[in-house]
Amino acid sequence: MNESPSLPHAYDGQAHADPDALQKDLLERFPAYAFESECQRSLDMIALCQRYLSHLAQDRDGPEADEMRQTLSDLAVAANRLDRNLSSLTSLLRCAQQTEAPQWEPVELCAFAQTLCAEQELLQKALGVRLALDCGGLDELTVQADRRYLTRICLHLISNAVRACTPGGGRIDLTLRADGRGGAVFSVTDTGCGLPDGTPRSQQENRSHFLGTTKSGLLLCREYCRLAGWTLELRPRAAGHGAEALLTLPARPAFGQTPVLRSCDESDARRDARRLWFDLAFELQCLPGLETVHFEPPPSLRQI
Amino acid sequence: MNDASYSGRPWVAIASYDPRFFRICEHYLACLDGGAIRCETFQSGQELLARLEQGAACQALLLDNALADMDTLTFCHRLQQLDPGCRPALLLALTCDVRELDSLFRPENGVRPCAPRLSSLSSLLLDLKSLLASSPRPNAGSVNRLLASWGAPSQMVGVVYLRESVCLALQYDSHFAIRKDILQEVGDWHTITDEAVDSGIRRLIDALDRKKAPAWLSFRQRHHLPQGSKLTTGTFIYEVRDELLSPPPAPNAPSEGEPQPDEREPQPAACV
Repeated sequence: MNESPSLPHAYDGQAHADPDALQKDLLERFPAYAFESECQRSLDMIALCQRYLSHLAQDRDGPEADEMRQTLSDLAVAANRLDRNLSSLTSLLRCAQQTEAPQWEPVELCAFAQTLCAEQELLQKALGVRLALDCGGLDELTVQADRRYLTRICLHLISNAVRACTPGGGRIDLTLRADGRGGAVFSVTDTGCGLPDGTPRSQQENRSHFLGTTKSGLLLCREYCRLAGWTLELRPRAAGHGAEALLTLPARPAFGQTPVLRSCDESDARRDARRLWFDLAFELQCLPGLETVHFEPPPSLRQI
Repeated sequence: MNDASYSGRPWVAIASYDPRFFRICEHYLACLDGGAIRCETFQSGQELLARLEQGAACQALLLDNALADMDTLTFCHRLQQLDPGCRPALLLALTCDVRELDSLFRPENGVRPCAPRLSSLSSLLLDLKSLLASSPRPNAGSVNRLLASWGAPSQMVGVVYLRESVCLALQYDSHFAIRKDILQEVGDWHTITDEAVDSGIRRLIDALDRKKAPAWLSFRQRHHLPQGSKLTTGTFIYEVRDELLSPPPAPNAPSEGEPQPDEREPQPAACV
C-alpha cells in the first residue's frame, strides 16, 4: 500500500484557489510533530554513532587517529548546531500552527537563576567572560511561569550576551528582582558589542559577533513572550558599551489561561535543576570557543 | 527478539522497529563499560511489556520513536499501567515530549517519585553509569518470592495490595506516610478506599499467622514482631521493605569481608 496522500483541501480541484488560504491550509496540515520526531531521531542516532567512534579512537596513536578525533569533534559541533537550529525552527512552526500553548507551573526563580550561572568559572576561564548573579537579597521568588519558555528565553539571552562579549571577554550581570506586584523582572546586561545603531560600522561589528547564527532565537523568544503575556525589551546599556535585555514576568498568567498547578517537592526541584543544567551545557557548547569543552554537571546534579 | 545471555549484569532493553537503531545503541552501550551492561532488543512492544510484567528486572529502557506494533506514546501508556515494580528504573524515550512523559509517570500530587526516571540523550551516559554503580533494587518479583516462601495464598487480594504497597514504599528513600502515600495510592488503582486496602492486607497477615510457615515465623522473630502480637499494616509494609532491602544472609554464607573461594583479594588502590 502506498503512503496515504495528504493534499490540502484547498488544492482539491481548485486551480486558482486563494494563495493565502492555500498557505494557511498547508501550514495547518504540515505534520510538525512527525517531522520533528524523525529529524530529532536521526540527530540522536548521529550523536550516538559519533560518541561510539570517539570511544574507539580515544586510545589510538598517530596522525591518522588525530585526524579522526578532529573529524569526530567537527561532526559533533555540526550536529549540535543543527540540533539547536532545528529545535528553534520546529518550536516556531508549532507557534505558527497555534499548537504551542503555555503550561503554567510555579517556578522558583532564585534557584533557576543560580543554575543558569552554574558555569561561571568555566566562562571566565575559557572566554574571559565574568558572569555575575544578583538576586537583590532574595532567597526565594516563586512565580507562575511556563518553565520551557523561561528556559529558552534566558538561555538565549545569556548565549547572546556571551557572543557579544567574545572574543576579548567582558562582563555579564544577571539580575533578578521582584516587581512588587507578585511578578518578577530578569535583566541580562553585558559589556559586549552592543546593539547596532544604524551605522555601517556598528552593524559590521554586531555581525562579526553573531556569525553562524540564524537570528531565529530572538524571534522565538518574542513569540513565547507574546503567548505568555511577558515582555522582552532590548536596549543599549545605560552607561558604556553593551546591551541590556529586560524580561518581565507578571504575577499571573495573562489572557485568562487556566493555570496548571502542581505541588513541588525536593526531588521535583532537583530534576528541574538537572534538566536546566543540561540545557545550559548544550547552549554553551554551541558557542564559539566552547564547542569542544567537556561539561561536567555539578556534584549535586550528577545522580539522576 | 534477540535474547542476550542471562547473568547478573544490569539489563538494558532497547525497543525499536528499526534494526539499525539496535546496532547503534548496542555499540554505544558496549563502549560504556566493556560489556558490563546486558542488552536485549525488542521490535514488539507487546513482547517487551509481557517480559516486564513477568517480573524481568529491566534497569533501563532505550525507546525509539516507534515500535513494530505500537507507537512510543501508546507503549508508555501501557508501561504506566504496569505495577511500578515491573517498570524500568530509567527510561530514555528519544524524541518524546518530556513534559508529556512526566505527566504520565508522575501523579499530580507530586508525592511519589516518578518511575521510571526520565533520561535525555545528553545525560544518558551519566545516568547509565550512575545506574551501573547503584545496586539492583528489589522489585515485584522479590515481593512475590518472599510471599511464596511464607506460603501466602495467592488468591487473596491482600497479596496484590501488599505487593503494590511494598513496590511503592521501595520508591522512597526514607520516610513516607502509610495512608496518604501508599494505601490511598493503591486504593486509587483499584478504585477502592484505603480502608479496603488496609483490611485486605490485615486479612493476609491473619492468614500467614494461621499458616505458621517457618519462613514467616523467622521473619517475625528477626524483625522483633513476636508471634501473637498485633502487627499493623503500616509496620508490616515497613518491615517487608526492610527485609527486601537488607535480606538475611544465606545459610552457610561466608561472613562479610571474607573473600569467596573463587574471588581474589582486592589489590591495594593506587595513590594518585
